[in-house]
Amino acid sequence: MILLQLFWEFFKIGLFAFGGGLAMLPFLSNLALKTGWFLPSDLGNIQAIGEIVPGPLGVDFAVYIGYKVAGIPGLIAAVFGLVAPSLIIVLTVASFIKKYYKNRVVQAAFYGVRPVSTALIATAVLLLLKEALVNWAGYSATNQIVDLFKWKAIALAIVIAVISNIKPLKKLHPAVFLLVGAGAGILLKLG
Amino acid sequence: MSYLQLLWSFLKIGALTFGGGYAMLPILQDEIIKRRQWLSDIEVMDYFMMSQCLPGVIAVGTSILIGKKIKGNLGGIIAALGVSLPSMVMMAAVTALVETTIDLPVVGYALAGIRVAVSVLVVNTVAQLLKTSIVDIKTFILFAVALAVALIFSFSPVIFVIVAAVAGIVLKLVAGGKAS
Repeated sequence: MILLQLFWEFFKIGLFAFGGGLAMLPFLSNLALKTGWFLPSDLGNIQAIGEIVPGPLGVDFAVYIGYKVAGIPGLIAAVFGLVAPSLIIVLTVASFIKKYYKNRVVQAAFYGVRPVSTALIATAVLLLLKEALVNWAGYSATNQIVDLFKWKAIALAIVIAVISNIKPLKKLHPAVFLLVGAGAGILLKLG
Repeated sequence: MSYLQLLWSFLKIGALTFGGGYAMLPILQDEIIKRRQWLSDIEVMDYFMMSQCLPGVIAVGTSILIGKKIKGNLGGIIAALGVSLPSMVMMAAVTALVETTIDLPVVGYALAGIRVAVSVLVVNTVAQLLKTSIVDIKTFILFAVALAVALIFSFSPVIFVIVAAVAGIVLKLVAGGKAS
């Protein structure tokens, strides 16, 4: 039955893809070729839509493919398949962690992991910033330093940085800043 | 505090996370730490890192860990479903409609703006994380080395975490004994 197959295929992906949505891409390509449910070229579109739609990217892939193959029941089968291994493994590991969290060795391990994880997140942020604020394409076309930077985006970034850090406005829900970003993006015609 | 409140919080988190795993952090901070005060930011950060080492979608794994900590196994399941639901609904709606929505220039502009906003919000989060994770000179060195390595090479986060965990154990338990 197709629903079972959807569940199973996404269960396997949920089990083997370490690192979130983008890590699923190679598995999804394989899936496309194996089942013919969708084309490998569809994946780029799904990712683009996934950027607009809130929520984890991995789930977006499951929803699109599941829905395309078998409508709403298909969507549910695919998402449950994707999430099930996570539920089983994480809940089991969590019980284990709970018992040992206060353990000296575990605490020492986390002491080392925290600064390193901050470094990893900082690296990801630098990449995000580069994407949003630097314009390699423009620079390589004209070779003028001026064109290297997306000035409008930088201006917006500075404004948001300021307002998200001053006392009364700091407490606003992050969604407010996302909305400001969206609105400003439209007004400024950011690319 | 009820299962319903847990579900509602994760529905909000799922509805506001645009893009990859890191984008979830500012929203998590706001909802779980500031508003609900269910956990400390250190705990949330630890769960986020653990989730990177486990298979599956990072945002879902983190939600399961948080949900389980707050309300047991059922809490973990509810958190996972809550964080996925907005995505499921919206994605299904967009898929069912027309694919041309992405081509509209307005959508492109709004997205570009949202990307800028997300970058700034995550920078704020990093500033916060720097304060809680760098507590002494050893952790500062770990941070600096990890940053340099991560910028130059692209190893899997799992490798970083394993090396960092070992380093932490060595620095705190082995070398710590010798320090005066």
